[in-house]
Amino acid sequence: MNGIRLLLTEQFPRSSCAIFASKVMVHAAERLNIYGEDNDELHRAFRYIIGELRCDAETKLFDDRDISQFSPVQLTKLGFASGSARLRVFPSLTLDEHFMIRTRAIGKQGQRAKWVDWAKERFSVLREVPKTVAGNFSGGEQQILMIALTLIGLPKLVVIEEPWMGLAHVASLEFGRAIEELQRNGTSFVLISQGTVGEGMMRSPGAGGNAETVYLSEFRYSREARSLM
Amino acid sequence: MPTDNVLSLRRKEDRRRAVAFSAFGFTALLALAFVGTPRLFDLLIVSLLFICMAFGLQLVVGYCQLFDLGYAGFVCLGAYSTGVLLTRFHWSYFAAAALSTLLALVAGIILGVPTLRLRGDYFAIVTFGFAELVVLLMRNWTTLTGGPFGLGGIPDPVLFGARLVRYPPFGYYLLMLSMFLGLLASIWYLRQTMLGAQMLAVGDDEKLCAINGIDIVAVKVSAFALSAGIGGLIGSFWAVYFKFLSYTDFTFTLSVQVIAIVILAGNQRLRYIILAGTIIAPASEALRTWLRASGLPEASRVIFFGVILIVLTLWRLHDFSSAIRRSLARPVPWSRKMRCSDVGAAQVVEMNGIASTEAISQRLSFNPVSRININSEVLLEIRGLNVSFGGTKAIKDLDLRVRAGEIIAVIGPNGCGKTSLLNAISGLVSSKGQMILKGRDITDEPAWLRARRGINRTLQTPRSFPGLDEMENMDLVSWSIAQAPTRSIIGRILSALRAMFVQLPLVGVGVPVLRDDQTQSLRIQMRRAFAKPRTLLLLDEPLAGLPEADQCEIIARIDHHRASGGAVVVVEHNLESILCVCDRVLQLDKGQIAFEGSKAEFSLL
Amino acid sequence: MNAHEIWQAIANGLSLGCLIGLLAVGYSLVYGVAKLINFAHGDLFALAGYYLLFFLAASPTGQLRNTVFLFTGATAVVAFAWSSHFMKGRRRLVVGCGGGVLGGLFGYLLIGTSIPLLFAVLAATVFTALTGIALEYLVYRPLEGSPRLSYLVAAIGLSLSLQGLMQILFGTDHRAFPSSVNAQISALPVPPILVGYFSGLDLLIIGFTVAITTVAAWFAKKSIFGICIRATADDPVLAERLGLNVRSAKVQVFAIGSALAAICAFFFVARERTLEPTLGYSQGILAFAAAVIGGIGSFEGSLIGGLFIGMILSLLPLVDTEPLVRFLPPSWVQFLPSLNLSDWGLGVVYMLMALVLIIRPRGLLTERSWRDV
Repeated sequence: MNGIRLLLTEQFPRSSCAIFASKVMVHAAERLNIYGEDNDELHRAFRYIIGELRCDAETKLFDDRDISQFSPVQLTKLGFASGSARLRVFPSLTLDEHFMIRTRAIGKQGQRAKWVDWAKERFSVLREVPKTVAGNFSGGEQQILMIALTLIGLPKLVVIEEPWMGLAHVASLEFGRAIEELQRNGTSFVLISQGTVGEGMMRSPGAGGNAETVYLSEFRYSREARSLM
Repeated sequence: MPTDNVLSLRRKEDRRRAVAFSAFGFTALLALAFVGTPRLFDLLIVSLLFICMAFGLQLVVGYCQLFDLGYAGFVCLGAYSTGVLLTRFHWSYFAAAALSTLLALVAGIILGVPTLRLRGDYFAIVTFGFAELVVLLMRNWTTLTGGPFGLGGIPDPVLFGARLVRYPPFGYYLLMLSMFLGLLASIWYLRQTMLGAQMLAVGDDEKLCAINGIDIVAVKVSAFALSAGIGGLIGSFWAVYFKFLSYTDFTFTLSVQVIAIVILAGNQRLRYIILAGTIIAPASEALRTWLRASGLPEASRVIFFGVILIVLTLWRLHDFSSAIRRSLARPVPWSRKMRCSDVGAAQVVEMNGIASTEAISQRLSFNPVSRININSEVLLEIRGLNVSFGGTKAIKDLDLRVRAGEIIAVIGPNGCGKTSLLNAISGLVSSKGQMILKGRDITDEPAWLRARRGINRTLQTPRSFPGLDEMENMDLVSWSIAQAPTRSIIGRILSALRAMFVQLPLVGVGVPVLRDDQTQSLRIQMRRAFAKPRTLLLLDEPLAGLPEADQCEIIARIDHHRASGGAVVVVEHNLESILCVCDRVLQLDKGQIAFEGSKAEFSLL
Repeated sequence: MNAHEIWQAIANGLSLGCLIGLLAVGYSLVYGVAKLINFAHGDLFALAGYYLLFFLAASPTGQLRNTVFLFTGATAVVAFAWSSHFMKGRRRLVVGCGGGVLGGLFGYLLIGTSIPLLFAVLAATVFTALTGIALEYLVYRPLEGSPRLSYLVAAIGLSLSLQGLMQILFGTDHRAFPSSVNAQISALPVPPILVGYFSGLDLLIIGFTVAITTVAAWFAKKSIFGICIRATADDPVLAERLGLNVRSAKVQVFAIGSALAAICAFFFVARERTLEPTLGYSQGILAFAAAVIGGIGSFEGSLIGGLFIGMILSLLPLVDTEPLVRFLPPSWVQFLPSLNLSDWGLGVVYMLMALVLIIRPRGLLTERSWRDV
């Protein structure tokens, strides 16, 4: 419960990805919510964290190890898991094939059946999914599949962009429970989404305890709008 | 206005400079004619030949960004038709050249119409196949073209009573020079017209073209046909100059040579093509001589072009002229500063604030009281709209009715289908369900036609055409959308022809446009919006990221648009500002209407 | 035109079609992983032919050095690329040079010695695979993420460079395998019913191609490697994020595709008894058309497309156009193009390819993918 898992520090303001202007720290078994308004900036933040975007003169430490030059594939080997609502699933692959790929990528192909059961146990949507390729799933089903792929294998750090997009009420509750369970086991989370604090509070039940929040820009929903949700 | 004067002055200067440069160049080339040796003539003629071919290909590859691998086919058509007409039917050169050009032009139209809607690499393959087919045709048509033995004995042309002499080729040089100047002037003129601007726009961003009412297929076919015609014309000169035609002259190697010149030149300016041509054409000839001298096969000079193409792509040199333009542009100020909270501390944000209601009311010249006339005509009616892509249904069975003079605000959480609704109305995504605009059924009409009929969409991230200046953007956009909305072939052809003769008022002197510069693009969009009365404006988050003064300005314009008889559908997160001016509120949730009613009803919630 | 001729033409079409189909499968492989058309695939095929000549001691003396030079270059580049996994900087150059020396030495030692046919084919396959990997590293990898048109231009440039290089290094003369090898190949057994229609080599070609296509199709659907490749083709960014090593997948597929091209080269030179630098261009177009007609990216489709084209090219000369001429007025007859339909075979292929692209770009055999809906 101690020890900084992820540390991101200051960028030069004129660089092409000036996202964080000060320190961002994620401890082990902690959850960090990043909110903001501008989709582009949030997406850039996400890509930067998962290693696709490199900025000049930044510091990126993972368990005291400099990962600023690591590619996403190398980060996966270290225990990173990432998912985004923009690129959810492979459209021409079936559910089982997705799990095959993911378990192989994290080195756990021998335990594939166990992890598939683990995922199906926690997400009811996965049990009733149609037997076609993932391209024909509904948006919510694709989203849950993406989340499941990210969570299996006990990763050390999970980064998800727009985790609640397309999720129905039941699915988002299951997601919240899964987050809590994994957090208890030591996984850290970074959840990036567009919206306001209010929305975020409502979407992550159990928002207290080991959760920090960071804003990328001011929220703009008026009072009337908030009361609609 | 002072700005206009400055720009028109700059334009006059630019024009004067271009004319002076051309005059100097022409005189120099002409002077060379008197002091040159025959070898120099040959070199110059071949260089000019390739440069002219590159001009032709520039229209398709440079302007419209279509990869045409079959240019040699058109040159072959032109050359062989001239050759056959001169040897077998004894036509005069001018007549033969004219017919060859026409033949190539028609071939371009026939090839272009079915293939120009194909994706980039598929289009390249089909054009490649076409060129090979033409060569095969020439090879096998022995009775007409001499087949594998070639077509020889093409006579010297007789121009204005004088027969051109092949050695020394002074006459040919003058002919080539006049062709070169004619082409240069024509393409330079074309660039000044609407059609040229439309070609550049199509090459930049097709989606934006559709929104702005540019008939993409007509523009592409025009460019392709013009380039084919130019190829045919050059082919006719090829026939009389080289005096012997063989199908092996027009293989893929020739297409590659011309493509290499165009790619090296970097897509935009004609002067770079001239420069590139003067580098590549003589180098190719020198290489051929060297290979012959060393006993190596001549055909292996393709390695020269292969290496050039690889090097150009690896170093992205084919983009270098746009890179130069970009570096000359004004730097965009960093309009927002953000700071992240330290863990646990409150955030500090120095962003442009939200326009307050008071500020807006000050700006609006009259009281924003709802003024819907219940009996005003229905501008847009949608029945049973269904939009789905990628397996998900973005909009389910939506009905909507928009009257003239109404302002509707569309709100809802992320992913509920607001942008999809706007996309479906403007035609950017395919949808099922009936759509009736001003009493006309527009369900099957493409996006550009809807834009011309009066549906005016702005994008969430405003964009403009980076290949054109700000002035050109505005003029192009206002003109294109004001064109007649007709889908008939004759109408589209006439529209394209008209575009060829309408000149852009100011070209090449404005400020270069950056693709994602919001303020510039928004200005252009707004100007386009008011080009036609009684239009339906579809605004996608127009207030996003703007300073307070600009927000008030936009809201005032929205209100003003209502007075002109149009209607506005606005998607916006910033409710406070929009509620000042809208009449109805439409709330979407997961693709269906969650609430629809007047502003008063909404405020009661 | 009698039945025997027709059957012979059909048999010829089958084996020719399988040859084209095998080359087309190579195109589909690379398209399947990177969604790009490797125009240089045909030229690798031609290059493999020259490697085979070297290993079969059939190259003229002047060209032996050239081939060894190519071996050195290919192995040097591959060693250099491979060393990036575990070292940086100048040591990689050392490893690269070392690899090049090894490859060159291997080639040099084999000059003039004759090795058994099977080993020669194997060695040529290995070196072609190495060359394919080297080309991928030099030209395609720096272009990852570029717009498609850049890829196209680079691929064409690569194809032309290879053609020119081969013309310079090996000359434009037509070559063939030495007669001893041809004798070995002719001695392949044939079942009695098929004598006169197929040769032993034809049967080998057909058998091998069908086997490879089936295996490849099965692999793509069932094996974990095939699933990874399909995932990479769908969305390389997502694949990378999920932890798939996209780079190594691409390299492996290039290697396999180049190896297939080498085997195809062996079959071709053995059957047609001709090899020249522009072979890559001429056969490459046919194979590419086959892949497009059948559906690029689909292995079965490439084979069917190849068979289709093979049949057309074989059966077209049998069509008799003389009767048509009688219907035309005599003054026209002098201006008719060549009526020998075998001249037009290539033209028919191009028209078919263009038609398929215009009407049904995904190919005749591929089903509607989720994207088309």
